[in-house]
Amino acid sequence: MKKKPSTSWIIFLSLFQCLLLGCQNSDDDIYDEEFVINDAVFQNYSEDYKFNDTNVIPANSYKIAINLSTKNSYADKFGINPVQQNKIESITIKTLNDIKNFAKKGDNINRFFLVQKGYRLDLYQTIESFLKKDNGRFDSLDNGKLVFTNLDNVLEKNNTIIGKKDSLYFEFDVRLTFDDKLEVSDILSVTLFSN
Amino acid sequence: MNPFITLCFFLVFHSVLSQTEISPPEEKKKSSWGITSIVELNGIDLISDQDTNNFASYLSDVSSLRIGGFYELGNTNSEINIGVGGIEVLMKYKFHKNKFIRISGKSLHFDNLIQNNNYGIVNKMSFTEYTGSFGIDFTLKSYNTIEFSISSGRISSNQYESYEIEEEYNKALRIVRNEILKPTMIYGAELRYNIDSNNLFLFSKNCSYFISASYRFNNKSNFHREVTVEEWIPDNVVYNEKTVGTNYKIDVFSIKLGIIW
Repeated sequence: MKKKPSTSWIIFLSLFQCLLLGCQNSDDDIYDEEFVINDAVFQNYSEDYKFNDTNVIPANSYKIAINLSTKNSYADKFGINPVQQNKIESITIKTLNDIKNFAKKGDNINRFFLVQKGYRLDLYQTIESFLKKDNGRFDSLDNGKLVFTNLDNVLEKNNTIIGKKDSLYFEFDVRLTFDDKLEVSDILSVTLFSN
Repeated sequence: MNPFITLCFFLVFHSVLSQTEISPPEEKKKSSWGITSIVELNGIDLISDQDTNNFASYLSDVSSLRIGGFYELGNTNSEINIGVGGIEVLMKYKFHKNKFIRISGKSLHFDNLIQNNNYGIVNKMSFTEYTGSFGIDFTLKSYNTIEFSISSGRISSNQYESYEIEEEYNKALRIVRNEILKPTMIYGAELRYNIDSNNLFLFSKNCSYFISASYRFNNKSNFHREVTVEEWIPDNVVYNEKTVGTNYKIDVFSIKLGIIW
């Protein structure tokens, strides 16, 4: 005589199926640890807190703050821990005005900036190195920064863009492109000065 | 001849003599063992007679908590202590009623990693020391003993320090300092006070405490130092200084507290 499956077996199999479904990776699941970046906001940022909410900032403290955002509530809450699924493929900073003899309107000025991945525990990276070595991933959603070096090239000395007692108006087009074709851009304007 | 090798040779020579001729057969079999526990503070100062800058100061201390055991056979006492910070092996041979020789080897390590939002520091240090000593002990009325010994040996050390600082808000600098003291002869003395006690807490076995202080110095050292400063990004070296074969004055001191039971 064929034995019918017992109730406890049915409950066990149902729970096992739930467990299997729960372990599946789904990037669209807003409660999953894996998350997708779907937007970014760029802001003028000064390491000198006195100038944080202004558009006139000391050149030696200026950074572009990048705040990434996601629909994933787990990532919003825990930030660093979740795994970012889409990586930044390119970072482009273009100037929308002439910068003395250093760059003309429309030129790429990535070389003026370095990447600060998160809370600073180490030296900075070039944008190129960040994209290649760190797969374009910041340490957290809201701590990535592009550091303005005030130098035409950090490997050379005496090529300061804004000299002492000088100021300069900048207008940047900042653009992030992700490997899932997401493109986020914004235009920032700031006056940088040096004492 | 190197005083350390001379002492080692002397120890081996006397061990053979005592086992074969002087010590009676009963004494050879007399053996005991026990547990030791030691807290030690070691410090090394390297003092340069050259001009120094911010990166040149060198003062390190290595603290160590070690637990181990000893084995006594006849006039020979062997001891090994292992623990947080390092390892020490020593052998003492009493060749006369109140005279002894001792050889010891010690390897200590220290590392410290500090990271917060503003800076990160890595500091690692190790030193190795081999010493041979000749000493005498005096027994006091209270059965406590005082040991005095003169020592000679070899010391070498290695320190690596790396730290990042932020200059003018956003300019990052990393300073890396690597300092190597090549094997250097040192000479010194040690004073040790042994306190006998009947028992320790719940242990019925007799125990003793000791406190010892030692100081060693050098005649000539071979010191290498390399300082590198990177600016903004890794590998962008803006300052590099290499000092090879400098003669530094070395002061080594150690204070040791121990219990044997």
